Amino acid sequence: MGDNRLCKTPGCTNVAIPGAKGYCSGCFERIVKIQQIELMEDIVKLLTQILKEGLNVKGLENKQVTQVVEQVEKHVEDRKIDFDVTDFIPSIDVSDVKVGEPKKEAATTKKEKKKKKSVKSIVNKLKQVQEDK
Amino acid sequence: MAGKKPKDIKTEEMNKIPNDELLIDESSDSSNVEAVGLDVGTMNLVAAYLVNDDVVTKRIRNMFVQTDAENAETMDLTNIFHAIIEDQLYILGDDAYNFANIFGQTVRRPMKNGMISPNEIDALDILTVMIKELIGHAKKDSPVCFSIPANPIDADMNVTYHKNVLERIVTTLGYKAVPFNEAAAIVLDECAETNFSGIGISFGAGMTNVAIVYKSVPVVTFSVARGGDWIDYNAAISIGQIPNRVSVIKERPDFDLTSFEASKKKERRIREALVYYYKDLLNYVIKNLIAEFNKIDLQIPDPLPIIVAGGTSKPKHFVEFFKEQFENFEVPFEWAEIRHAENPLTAVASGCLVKALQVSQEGESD
Repeated sequence: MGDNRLCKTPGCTNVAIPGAKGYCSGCFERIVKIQQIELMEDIVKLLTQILKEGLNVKGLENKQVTQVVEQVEKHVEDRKIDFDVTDFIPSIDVSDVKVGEPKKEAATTKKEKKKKKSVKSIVNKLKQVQEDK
Repeated sequence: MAGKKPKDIKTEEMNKIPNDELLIDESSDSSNVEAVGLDVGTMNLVAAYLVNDDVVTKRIRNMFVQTDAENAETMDLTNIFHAIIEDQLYILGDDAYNFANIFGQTVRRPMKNGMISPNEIDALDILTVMIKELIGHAKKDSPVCFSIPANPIDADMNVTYHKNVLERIVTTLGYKAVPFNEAAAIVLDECAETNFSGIGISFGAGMTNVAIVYKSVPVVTFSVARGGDWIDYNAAISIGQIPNRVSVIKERPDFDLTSFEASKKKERRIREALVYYYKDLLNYVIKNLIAEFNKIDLQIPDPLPIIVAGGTSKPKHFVEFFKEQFENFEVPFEWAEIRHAENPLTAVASGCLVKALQVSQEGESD
């Protein structure tokens, strides 16, 4: 089936997820992480360059630029240690989500009225239509 | 994966009951079924699955209220669906409505304009808890087809994040995730007679989704960031009311799009404003449907049925009202009929179930 393409990372056997440019969720997260660190490093380089070349940045004094560089460097360092990918693709570990569950069912459950066509016959028709195309 | 430690979500030990024990009978257990359809709407979460060839649906209001966890000590939460996240108590689902009044708050929603709300920091946790309550942990690798909106043509929003987050929630619960356009799901549910060709329009709370589907293939899908909430908000500010008050009147069973009649003058005003904004929404959707259809070179040999569904299509005479607006336009395609889905509130979930069953059967035959 078309939806079950493998991740395009060489050697990875996981299924690619939609919206992740052909990667599986794990590889996609790693790519996002690397890209974010690279971005931060670029920012540090740029700010350092501004400082070294003494560019006349309106409204910014050297001391302030130094402070910004230090803050960004620290931020990059922090992210290397414990990078929060959840900013981009959240990590949800449902097994750790514990709730006070009610003794009665929280959802409203009902049996739907019988339709003209049963769902199984609709599925069979769908398969037939797709095969005929 | 490197990442932050999950949030400290404490357990109410006295209420900690395994999910399976909450099940009343076999019909309420979705965790062991062949496939599940899941409509993830701004206002409601609806799951559909088969039990002995009958479609069973489960619904939870997609909303919550928040208060300090200290309040939990003074409350009897025995039968209340709730979560304590860090030091905050969240009352979830249908109970949120009642508690909103007690706390003097308005209900909040994990989703806004059809997608995960960027304004609610705990939206993901809450959505995860509610979806888990609906479909449980999978006992086998069954597919869950969940509805996603199309990217809106009139708002700077993208569905990618929303889709990936839902996929993560569903797969973490042990299911195989299958995203599917919500308006196209209506056509799968309702248009078997026309070989799954038709136009599905899902009038939701957060947005309106449209899909032109030909032989089961969605050829055009789009959404507009206007729906029931947009009607409530605009009707309310036009007459100096709060949206909640307007919403209550809109959801009354006797609210009729062909009549403003009501015993009180104030209510008549509200009904009148609602009708005007309904009219505006429908005209906006029809104009955009025509514009989007004209963008593609599509010749469809047979007249297309137009199927409407969603909570915002619930008022009396909605279909007649829609038809009246539709007939004012010159449409670039032939249409056969305009009708409601058999069950407008569960059509998206049922259509997703059809897709999920198809995926399940394909998986078995591979």
